[in-house]
Amino acid sequence: MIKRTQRIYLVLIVLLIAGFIINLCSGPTWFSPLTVLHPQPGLQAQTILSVRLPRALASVLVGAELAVAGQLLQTISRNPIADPAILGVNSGANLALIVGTVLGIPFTIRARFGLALVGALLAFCVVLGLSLTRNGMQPLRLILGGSIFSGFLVSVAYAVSLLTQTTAQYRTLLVGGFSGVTYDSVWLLALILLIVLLAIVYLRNSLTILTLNDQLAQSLGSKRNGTRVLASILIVLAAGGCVAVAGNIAFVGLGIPQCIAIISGHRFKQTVGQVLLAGGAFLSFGDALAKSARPPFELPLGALSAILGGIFLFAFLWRKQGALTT
Amino acid sequence: MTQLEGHDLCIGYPNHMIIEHLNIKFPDHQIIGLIGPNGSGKSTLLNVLSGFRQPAAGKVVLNGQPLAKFKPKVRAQNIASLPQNPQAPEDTLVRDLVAYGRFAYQKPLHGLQTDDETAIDQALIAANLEGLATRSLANLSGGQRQRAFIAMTLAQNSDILLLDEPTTYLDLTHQLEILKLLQELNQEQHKTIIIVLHDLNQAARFCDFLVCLKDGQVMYQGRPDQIFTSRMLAKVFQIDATVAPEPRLGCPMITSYDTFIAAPTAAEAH
Repeated sequence: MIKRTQRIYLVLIVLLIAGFIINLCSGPTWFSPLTVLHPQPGLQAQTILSVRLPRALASVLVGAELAVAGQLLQTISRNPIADPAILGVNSGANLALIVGTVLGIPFTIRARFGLALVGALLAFCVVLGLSLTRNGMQPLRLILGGSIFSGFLVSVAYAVSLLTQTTAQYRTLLVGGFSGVTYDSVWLLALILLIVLLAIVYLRNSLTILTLNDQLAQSLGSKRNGTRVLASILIVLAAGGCVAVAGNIAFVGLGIPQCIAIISGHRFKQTVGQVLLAGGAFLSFGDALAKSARPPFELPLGALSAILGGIFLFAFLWRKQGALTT
Repeated sequence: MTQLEGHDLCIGYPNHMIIEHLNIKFPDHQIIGLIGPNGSGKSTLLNVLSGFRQPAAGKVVLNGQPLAKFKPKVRAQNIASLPQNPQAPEDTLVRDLVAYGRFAYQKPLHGLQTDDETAIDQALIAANLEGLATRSLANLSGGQRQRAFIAMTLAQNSDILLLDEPTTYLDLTHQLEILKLLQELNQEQHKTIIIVLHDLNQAARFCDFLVCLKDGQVMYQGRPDQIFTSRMLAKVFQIDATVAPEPRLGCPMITSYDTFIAAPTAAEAH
C-alpha cells in the first residue's frame, strides 16, 4: 500500500517537472531544454527569464491552487462534482474585474487581485446566503444556487463586455490564459498557495472528518460549520487569485480531484498532496499546448483545459468501469 | 443526579412538535433501550441527546451542565454516538476509521499521541477487530463494518454511548454479536449505553432499563421485568401479545402476538 502511494507521488512529481520544462521550452518558437538552461545572452535570455519563466511558474501555481480549491469544496459540500466555478466564485471575480476596469480602475495585478477578491467574496456570500436554512448550510442548495447564480454572473460579464465593446480587451479574462503574466502575479499566487497550504495543515484532521456523513462528523466533535467557513475563505482566496491572473479556467477544480479520487480514493489527508501536484502538472501541459499549438495565436486555455480534462476524465472512468467488470 | 437528563424537552418544528415537555433521567452505567412505534420520537430524542439537533425548548443536561454549553470536542469526549447508517469513504482502513474517534482529543498541529494509539488499540481489541485493522471498509462484511464504527465510537473514551438501531440490516448472528459486544462494554467499562432497538425481544433481553415512547411521550419506563407486559404492548404498540419468561434467561419475551380484532361498534352491528 505504502509503496503504491510512493509510486503515485513519484509519477506526479516527474509529470510536474516535465510539464514545467516543456512549458518553458514552448511558445511561438520552440527552445530546446538545453537552450533554456544556457540561453544566448540578449533577446533569448530576456524572453526566457521575463516572459516564459513567470508564465510557467504561474501555470503551475494556478493549476495547483484551482485543484486544491476544488478538492476543498468537494470535501465541505460532500459533493464529488462541486467546482469553485459552481460557487459563483470564479464568475463573481470575473465580473468584478470587467466592471472595475470598465469603470476605469487600472489593470495592475494588485488592483486586479483586489477586484477579483471582492467579486469572489460577494458572489460567494450571495450563494452562501441561498444555501442557508434554519438547520445550517445545506450542501445541495449551495451547489444548485451556486450554479444558477454563477451562470447569471457570466452572462452579465459577457453583456457588460459586449455593450462596452471590450470583448477583445478582456479576452484573456473571459476565455482564460496566461499571456502577459509577470512576476508580480507569480509572487501573489505563491503567497496565496503558502496561506492555503498552512491552513490545510492546520485543518487537515477537521477536513478529513468531514468526508464522513454529517452526523458522524458531528458525533466525533467536528465544528462542521466553522471548518466549512474557513475552508470557504480559502477557496475564495485561491479562486480569486487564479481568476485575477489567468481568468476563467474550467475543469481543473472539478476534474483533477476526481482523477486523483479514482486512483487514490476520497480521504482528504491522504490525497491533497497528489491533487496539488496533479493540478500543477496538468495546467503546465495545458498552457504549453495553448501557446504552441497554433502560433502566433493562443488557444483559449479555459476551453482547452475543459476539452483535455473531459477526455482525461472519460478515459479514467472508462478504465475504472473496465476494471470493475473484468 | 444522573449523568444525562432531559429537562422539559420540546423537539420539532413550530407547527409540528414531535416531542412536547419531555422530562427524563437516564440511569447511569446501564443499557437503556428506547422502544416505541415508528414516528414515536425515538430517533428524534436520540438526535437531541447526541447534540445533532437543538430542542425547540427545554434542555439536555450532561453532568449537571446544559449540553448546548459544551464545545463540540468536549461533548464528543463525554458522549459518543453512532447514527443510523454511518458512512465513510470505502477506502478508509479500519484502523484509520477508529483513529477518527480520537479527533476530539487531537490538537490541530499534532499527530496521534501515545495515549491515542493505546485507545485505538483497546477499541480494536474490544470490538474483536485486531485482525482486520489494515483492511479497508470495502472489504468488510456488514457485521464487521458495524463493529468498526462501534470501535470508532469506543476510541472516543466517553462514558456515554448512544446508538441508533445499530443492528438494522444485519442477520441474526451479527445482531447478536453487536448486542453482546455492547453488553460486554457495559459490564467491563461501565458505560451508559442508550440504544434505539426495533426488535422488542432483544430490547427486553439486553437492556437493563426500557423507555417506551409513544407520540412523543414516555408511556412506560423501568426494568424489563416490571414493564415489559402484554398490557404495555397493547397500549404502546396496539398488539395483542403473550409475554412469558425466556426459557434460558428468564427475561420477559413475546411468545405470540397478533393484531387486536376490533370489537364491532354499536353502529356497525346495526
